[in-house]
Amino acid sequence: MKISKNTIRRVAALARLKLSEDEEKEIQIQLAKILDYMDILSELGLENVSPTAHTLGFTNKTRKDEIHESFAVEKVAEIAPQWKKDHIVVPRIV
Amino acid sequence: MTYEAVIGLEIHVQLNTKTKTFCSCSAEYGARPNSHTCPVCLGLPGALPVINERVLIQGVIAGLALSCEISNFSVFARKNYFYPDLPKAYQISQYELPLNKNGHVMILNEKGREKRIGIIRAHLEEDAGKLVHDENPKGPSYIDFNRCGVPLLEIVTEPDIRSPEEAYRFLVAIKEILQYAGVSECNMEKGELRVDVNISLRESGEEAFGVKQEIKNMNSFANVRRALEYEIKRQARILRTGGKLKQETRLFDQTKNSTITMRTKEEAHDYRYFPDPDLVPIVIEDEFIENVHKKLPELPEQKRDRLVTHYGLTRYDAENLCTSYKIANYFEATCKNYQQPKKIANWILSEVMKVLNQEKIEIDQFKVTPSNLRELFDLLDSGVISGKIAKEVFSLMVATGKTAKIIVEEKGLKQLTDKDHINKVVDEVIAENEKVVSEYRDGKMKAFGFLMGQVMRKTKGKANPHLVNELLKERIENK
Amino acid sequence: MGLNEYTIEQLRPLLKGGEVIPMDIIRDLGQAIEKDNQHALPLNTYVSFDIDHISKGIASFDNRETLLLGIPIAVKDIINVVGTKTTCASKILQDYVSPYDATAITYLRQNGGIPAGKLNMDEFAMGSTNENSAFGVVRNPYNREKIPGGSSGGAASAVAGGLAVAALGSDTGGSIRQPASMCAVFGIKPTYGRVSRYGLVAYASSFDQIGPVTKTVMDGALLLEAISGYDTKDSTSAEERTPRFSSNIGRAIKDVRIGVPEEYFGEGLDEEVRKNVEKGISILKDAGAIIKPIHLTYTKYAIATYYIIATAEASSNLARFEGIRYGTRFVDTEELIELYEENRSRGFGDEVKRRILLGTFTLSSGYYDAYYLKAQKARTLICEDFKGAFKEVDIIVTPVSPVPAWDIGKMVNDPLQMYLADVYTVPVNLAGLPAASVNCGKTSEGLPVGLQIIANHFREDEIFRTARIVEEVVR
Repeated sequence: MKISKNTIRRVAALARLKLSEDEEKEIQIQLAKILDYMDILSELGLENVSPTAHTLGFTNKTRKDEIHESFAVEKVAEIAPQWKKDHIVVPRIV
Repeated sequence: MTYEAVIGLEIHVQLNTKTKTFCSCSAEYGARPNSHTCPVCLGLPGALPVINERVLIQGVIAGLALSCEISNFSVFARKNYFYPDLPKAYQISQYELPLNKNGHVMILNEKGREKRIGIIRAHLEEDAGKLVHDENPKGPSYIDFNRCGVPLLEIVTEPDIRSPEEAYRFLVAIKEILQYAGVSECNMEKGELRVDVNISLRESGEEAFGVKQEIKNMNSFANVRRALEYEIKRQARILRTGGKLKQETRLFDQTKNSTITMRTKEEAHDYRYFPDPDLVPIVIEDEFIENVHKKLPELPEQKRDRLVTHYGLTRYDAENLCTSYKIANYFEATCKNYQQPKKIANWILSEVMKVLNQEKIEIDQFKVTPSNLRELFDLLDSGVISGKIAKEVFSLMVATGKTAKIIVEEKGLKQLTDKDHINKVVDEVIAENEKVVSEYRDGKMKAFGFLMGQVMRKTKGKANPHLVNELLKERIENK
Repeated sequence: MGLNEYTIEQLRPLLKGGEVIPMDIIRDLGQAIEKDNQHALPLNTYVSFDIDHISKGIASFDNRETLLLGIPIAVKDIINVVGTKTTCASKILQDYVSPYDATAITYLRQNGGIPAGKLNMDEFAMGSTNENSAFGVVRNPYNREKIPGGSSGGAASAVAGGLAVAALGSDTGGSIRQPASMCAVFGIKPTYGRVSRYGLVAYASSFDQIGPVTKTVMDGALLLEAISGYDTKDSTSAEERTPRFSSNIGRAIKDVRIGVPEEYFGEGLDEEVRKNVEKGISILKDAGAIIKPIHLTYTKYAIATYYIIATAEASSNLARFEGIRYGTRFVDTEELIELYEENRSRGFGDEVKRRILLGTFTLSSGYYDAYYLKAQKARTLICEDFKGAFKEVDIIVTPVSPVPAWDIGKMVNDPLQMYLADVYTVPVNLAGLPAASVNCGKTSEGLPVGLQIIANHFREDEIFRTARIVEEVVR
């Protein structure tokens, strides 16, 4: 299947990835090749097959509504690259 | 050209649970920023979600309260998008298989007729963190992840609403229902309830929908109504002059009561929903749903009906008492085994509500408990105090927190019923007001009122008015 | 022979008797690593080997009677070990320090294991050659010009090269088994749900498992015992009791039914690999097992199925890496989208980007049904294939890799080619089954060949029993 450059750009934007022109060209070819290969699944008759999301078929794995200890604020401060007055700093959101 | 507004609401309600949806951090509001976090709600590498069973139960309760079909099989899905308040860059929500669907809420429209507002779905999802901005407009933004992961119920209505007033009434109704069900306090100031609206206009009689506008950023029901009023005018103006509307998202500006386009370029979101592989499906058996149904708290409609039939209140009074389940409960607690509930209903709706509004408090912060109020009424009914004195006692109860009995004792407010004492005062008044007495004898009825007032004044309002009336008449006639 | 060359089984009595203390082992490991670093072509198996941090772990270790008695275990750098850098061999996490322990590490510690060193790997577990690391390639101790396999290349190479006593790797599509086969060590991917995934940085959530990479089958059994068990913090964790896997070592396999699927021995399988695998199978036959030809008809759809689902899940799992809340920030820009794009584009390597783009595409509007949904359905068929097979047999044996270790740099430009080399390992992950690789011989060039042993869900005991038979003869 042919992948247009616009599709590559759209997908890259969705994934928040920036590709150089060369990278775009390369990815176009590689993805097209890979997706062509994926078409092998069209050989299968899948109308009456239900999808498998979990191999072991568990359901209802719940936990009780009981409070356990959270991270200390200081620990969160350690993880964050930028921190000010108990908050994580991020670029201005308009 | 008349236009019809077609309105749908999207409401996010925070479910009342101790811990968050997928981790055991406290879900409590108002804590020190970033003090209720862990690897899971921070979206740290390697963290995994585990669903809080109370969230499922609250979800089922809400579904039943909204007359929805509860799904026996529902699945959590990932809604993928990038935003700084979303640590995993996806929100765990529900997509193809939501917990609740096909429900409804009844409201009274402006014409006083019952109207059914359909609910397409009410599904579970987790909340994002809270973003605040630096005062300096060039400064950065800050995130508090305490709210991240708190459980939400997203309720989507059918586009059945036809006016801003209907939208307002719907919101009032749904808030009542969810409060009664114990699912959420729906306090908009605490962010427990958020509303987005979708509105389009079409020519009256048209079946096709017009171009939808989404409005966000309304922080009260009144503002929802205002935003819709503005939108209808704005859209009608454009359509009438032959203009075209394009689908967009707008923000409500509460300083101007208008809406403005969102400046950020909104790319059409492709959320790439797929079932979350870290979570397993939820199977809810019919038996479980029935058990929850049995334990469901009384909902507003049922309570209103019961107040009318059981306590003999008017529909109007019942509705007013039931606007808050806390007030309705207060009423019932006061009225236990009481023979004249209407008196108490009136008192609550006038005297009590006045105080609550003045002090800007809720009934659960009110110093006068149901048993306190009941005591006051018992004193009034048994003639220990008069109606006028009762009001005075009530004010003192509110001000000091003391009980009625103690106040009556301390201030000596017991009603005067001693005939001899009253007669003495009556004689005094007659003696001092000969002119008025003769006016009364001549047929001037108002004069009697004056004389009564004088007796009450001299007894500092404590004399039993019936007795005063009786004895005053007697004394005058016998003279 | 330094203590670094010993097995867990050999070290236990020495530690118990007090002839050796854990610090002695660490010292020998440190020296071996130092020595290897001087080599012209170092194995480069570690991202970090922090003696200070390891010593702290040993200091807090008490002399209780435990399974592992203070033996140091190297950990693939995709598993959170509190206080260590967990980089996933990526620039975007090059400074990230784990604030918590993965549950498997907690259990390891409870059983006396000391996490010691973080192992090099393919970035975010995406790769089969360990050439995709931001911290340099890992080399195969049997031939330093060749790949060790991936993505747990660091684990297999370190264990084979005497730079670790034993290691924990992770397997999503073969990432434990394939490098184990290329380095002549034992590696097992447990049943999905046997070992907790809490703290394992997710690549493909419905396939990932942590598992041991060890010198011997017995070591593998002991280490798997030490890390297995139900975890309430992982919704996909199984409430299965952990058996004493080591008690299966030495059991006979007389009359055990062993299935050999025709589809795994067709075109594309290197002759020398085939010969060695068949040798392994004949060892089992000689030991009394019943060899049965079986069919796994949907095998040829496994790669497509696996890569569609895995990359889709990965594209979502890796979205959280943006260098804003943790991790490395590469640029200083005030524009939010630009910040995301710069950080991620500079932080991720090419293979990771490729898989994220592929996964984003197949989940995007209009393509979900054609790819993701289809693949989930194909997955059902592959699972049923195995279900049917396990009605006829107790064990399935196959090759692990169609070719032995190839030259470093040979396949970097052909991603599809590399994906196709996973043909024998990915079906196992699709079905959630346990499987291991045990060495069954070497090619004429001296390159190791592994035999894959697959068992039914939660029947790792069968794998250990069978693997031991082969190991005993081959050694």
